[in-house]
Amino acid sequence: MKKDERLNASVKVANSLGYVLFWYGIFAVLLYRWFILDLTLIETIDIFLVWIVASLVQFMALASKGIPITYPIDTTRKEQKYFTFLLPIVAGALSVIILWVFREVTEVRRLLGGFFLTGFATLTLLIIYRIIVHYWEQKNT
Amino acid sequence: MDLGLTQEELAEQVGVTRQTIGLIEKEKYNPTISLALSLSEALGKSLDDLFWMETSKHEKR
Repeated sequence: MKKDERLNASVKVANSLGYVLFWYGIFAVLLYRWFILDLTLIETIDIFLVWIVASLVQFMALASKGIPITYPIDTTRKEQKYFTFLLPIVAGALSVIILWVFREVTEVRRLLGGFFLTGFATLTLLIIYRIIVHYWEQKNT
Repeated sequence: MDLGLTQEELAEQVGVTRQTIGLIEKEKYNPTISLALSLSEALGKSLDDLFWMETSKHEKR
């Protein structure tokens, strides 16, 4: 029974449904605590770590299966390169908006720090993703 | 086709559950090629005999 392909496929679908609910649920809880209850990242670090580890595992699992970085949007290699460099800028800008609007940070140095830290972290993750997908393609195609 | 095999016996031979065999018979589940080949071997029939669609839309070549 363990190798029944239909059961395995159905269990995977059920698990992924559970994962999606878990992921968005925890994310909603984090947003509520940060922006409604005004808690800091450190005060919610336990939930945040669970959420970020789950996200990173999923991220790496997708990369190790050779899923294109822009999936489900069909893009060329050139467009994927633009995406890799554009997304960190968007993420950095988002971090500045959050700091400025919700945390009332006006100090330019802190805003720039937020921008570069978020942008650099996003860029690093995307580059790691592209490297994994590159090696997957070399091995499997 | 009647080979005197129960769904349970066939399921046992190919290593799946009886429910999966039932769903394949009712055309509610499409097996992978690997399982289709196992079924073909267990039943002594070709894939064409087992899985070819019999509707007018898909006329046999």
